[in-house]
Amino acid sequence: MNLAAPVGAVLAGLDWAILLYFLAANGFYLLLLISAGWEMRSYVLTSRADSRWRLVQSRTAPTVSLLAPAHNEAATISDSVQAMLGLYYPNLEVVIINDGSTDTTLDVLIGRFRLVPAPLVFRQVLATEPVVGLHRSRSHPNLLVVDKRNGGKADSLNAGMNVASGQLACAVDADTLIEPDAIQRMVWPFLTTANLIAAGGTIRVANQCQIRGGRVIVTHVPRRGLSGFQVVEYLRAFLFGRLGWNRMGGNLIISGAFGLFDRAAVLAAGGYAANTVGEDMELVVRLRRKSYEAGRPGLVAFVPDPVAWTEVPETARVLGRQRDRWQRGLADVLWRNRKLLFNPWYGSLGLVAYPYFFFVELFGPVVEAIGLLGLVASLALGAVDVPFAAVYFLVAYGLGICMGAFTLVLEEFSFHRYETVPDRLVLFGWAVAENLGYRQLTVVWRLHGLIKFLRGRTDWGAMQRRGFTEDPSAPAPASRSEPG
Amino acid sequence: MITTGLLYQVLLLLGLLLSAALAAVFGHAAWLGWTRRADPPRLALARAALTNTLAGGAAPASTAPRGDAARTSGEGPAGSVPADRDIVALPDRLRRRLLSDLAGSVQGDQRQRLARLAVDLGIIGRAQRWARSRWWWRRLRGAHLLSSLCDEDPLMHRLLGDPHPAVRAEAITWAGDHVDTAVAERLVDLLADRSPLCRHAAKDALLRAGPAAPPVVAEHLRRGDSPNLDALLDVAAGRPDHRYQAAARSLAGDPRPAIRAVAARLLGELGGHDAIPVLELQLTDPQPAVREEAAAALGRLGHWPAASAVARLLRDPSWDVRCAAGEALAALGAPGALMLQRYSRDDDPFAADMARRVQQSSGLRTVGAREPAR
Repeated sequence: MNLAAPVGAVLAGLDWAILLYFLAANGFYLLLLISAGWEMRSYVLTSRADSRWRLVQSRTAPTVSLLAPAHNEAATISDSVQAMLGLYYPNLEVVIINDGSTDTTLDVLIGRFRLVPAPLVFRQVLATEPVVGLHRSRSHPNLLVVDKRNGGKADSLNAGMNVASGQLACAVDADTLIEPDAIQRMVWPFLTTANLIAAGGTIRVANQCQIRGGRVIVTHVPRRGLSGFQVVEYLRAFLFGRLGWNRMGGNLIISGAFGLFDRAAVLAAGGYAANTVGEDMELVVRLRRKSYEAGRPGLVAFVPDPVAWTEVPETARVLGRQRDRWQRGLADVLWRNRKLLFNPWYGSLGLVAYPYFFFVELFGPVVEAIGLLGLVASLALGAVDVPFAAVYFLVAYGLGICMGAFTLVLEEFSFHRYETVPDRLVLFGWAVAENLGYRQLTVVWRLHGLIKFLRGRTDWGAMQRRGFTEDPSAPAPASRSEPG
Repeated sequence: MITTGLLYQVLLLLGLLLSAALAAVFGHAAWLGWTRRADPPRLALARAALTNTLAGGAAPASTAPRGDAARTSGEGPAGSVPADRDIVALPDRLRRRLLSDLAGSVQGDQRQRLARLAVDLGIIGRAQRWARSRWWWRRLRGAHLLSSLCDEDPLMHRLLGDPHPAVRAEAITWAGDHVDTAVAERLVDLLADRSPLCRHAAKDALLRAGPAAPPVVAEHLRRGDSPNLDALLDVAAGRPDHRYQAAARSLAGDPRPAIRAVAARLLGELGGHDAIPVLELQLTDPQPAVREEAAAALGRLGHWPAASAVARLLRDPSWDVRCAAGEALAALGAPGALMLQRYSRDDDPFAADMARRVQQSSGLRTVGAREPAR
């Protein structure tokens, strides 16, 4: 019996189905892009108003607590805290959570900022590892240090939420470079939007940028492939992905490196979950779900201004681990909140945002992998012809290249942080090249993450960073655990 | 089936899209590059000329050529210093930037000169046209220019009622610097605006406002029928004035708990003998938020005779009330410390715990705290 014909027919049908999937996904991306363009235009026009800056500096502006967990960071903690204290915002409280450091982190803080014991009077709304002491600075009255037993990042942030006094709480990673006026920009949506529960901002890639005094002075597009591709990825994810969601049902993700939350809402929702690798996304989805259940749908806004800079992995091994973990985190969060899928009770969250993340972000790699393998098999069996394969390829990857290119258009007409023509040319080059090899590599990593999730793996994996230095050619330091 | 023709069409479409993106990015980059090279020297010359003009080197005459005429001729009015040509020669966008950038830094005569120059150069005329535009972003730009360059313009009053919240907020921010009785009345109304941004801007404007605001706020508090009474009380507490005293005492008995709570805070800011009995009465209010504010207010006022009444709140079922009572006792000096000492051995474990924690924190006794590194 000849099996080639029925197998060929099945493969051809599969190829058509996947082609339609790509068309639908790219069509949705196009909608997001248009939405992002509209939102960006509105944002840029509004930001011309003088009142914007005066109002966020007003003493009536909401109080903000900056929460920064620190674990064995004696070498860098002093500079990090100094940079946080230098942020421009009138009602800012900086809360450093010493998460059971076994080195001299606390002693460094006590010496550098003249800390004295402060009242252990705070309301323990969220359960955390025991807090051993509170310290307030004599030299910087808005600095508070929480000394607690080790419990991990989520536990530390929960302890910070308990102790903080701000109306808004901003979770930051100690190794993220925050723009001096980032808090002002992030607070703005809380002034303009009722029922806002969280806001996120654009995180940019700092690799090979010139950094001085904890600030990015000159931006450069990395010439190394992996970090260059990630610049385009970050721009696409933030500038058109998340910005586009502002008008289409709201965001589900706020970067753990820098996000601003309504503290009361976080406390009411139970704080960060410690038993997930995607605690930032988990919190946002839970906050939104609970707000719908309480009858007051909460919004999550995205601020397109670049607010923070981070170092991205420069080796395939480390990047692979990171993407694997992100995919596991996504799968975990979507699984925990599965009742949202197509549930009209949750409005645009259940009908638009969740299905998108489920079908495009979670299962995208599966479909893409099957599609690529199926196409090769179909061509080999003669089930599809070359024009079909070419159109398939163009729809899947050609449109991806166009989306990347239009993200660069958005960047150019809004913030244009990459100022030289060579930088722009290189960026364009990365936007085209990332679809030819790098994207397929990320599919493999994400598939790996999905498989691990199905097997129940919840570890983080080690992250190796070069560290921010003024000289980008400086040697790489030792590895450490990734803060997320 | 997919034909070769369709393939070429898809290829052409993608090629066109990519070309358009490339053209947009590099066209914009070229324009940016040109302005970055060309603008700074022109702006520097014009800034020097403007500084000279404002310093009295040459006051622009009211008969100066306006807008396009000035631009084409490059001629200034009779008596202008030659440097004025550098301002006139600037493109509109740079003129606007130059004048509005400088506006925040000049006062008095110099500001009047700047405003006259803005009129002569046609900037104010354009801003007024923009402020009447049907497009909100044009009105916003118009409002921004008018607010930075004009001390008084009827259009700004009109923009207080603009349909777009960003424009309204811009006008409200301007109004905060130009408050008279009518504007203060309008700002009080705007405390109940539908947009949170405008409510916030109105609150900020009232807090920054000069002496015209307190009588208006006091009158609205006295009437007590404002839909935005809690916001109004917040403003009053942020900028206490003796004229709020009677209204605050009266609102402390309001049936709405939120109003009673903010009234307690206001009384704590105002102080005075008349405030004390009201606050003491509020210590027994059925609502925890009111008891908390009353305890905190008595602590702020340092009214030590109320120590025992405040101390009783250490047994309150609400954590916030117990905490406020503890902190208030710490602020009351020796009588408060005595009460904390007594309650630290109280039968109620919650009261004893709070009293002990506050004792530790107030430096009365420190247990288990680390010494600062030397």
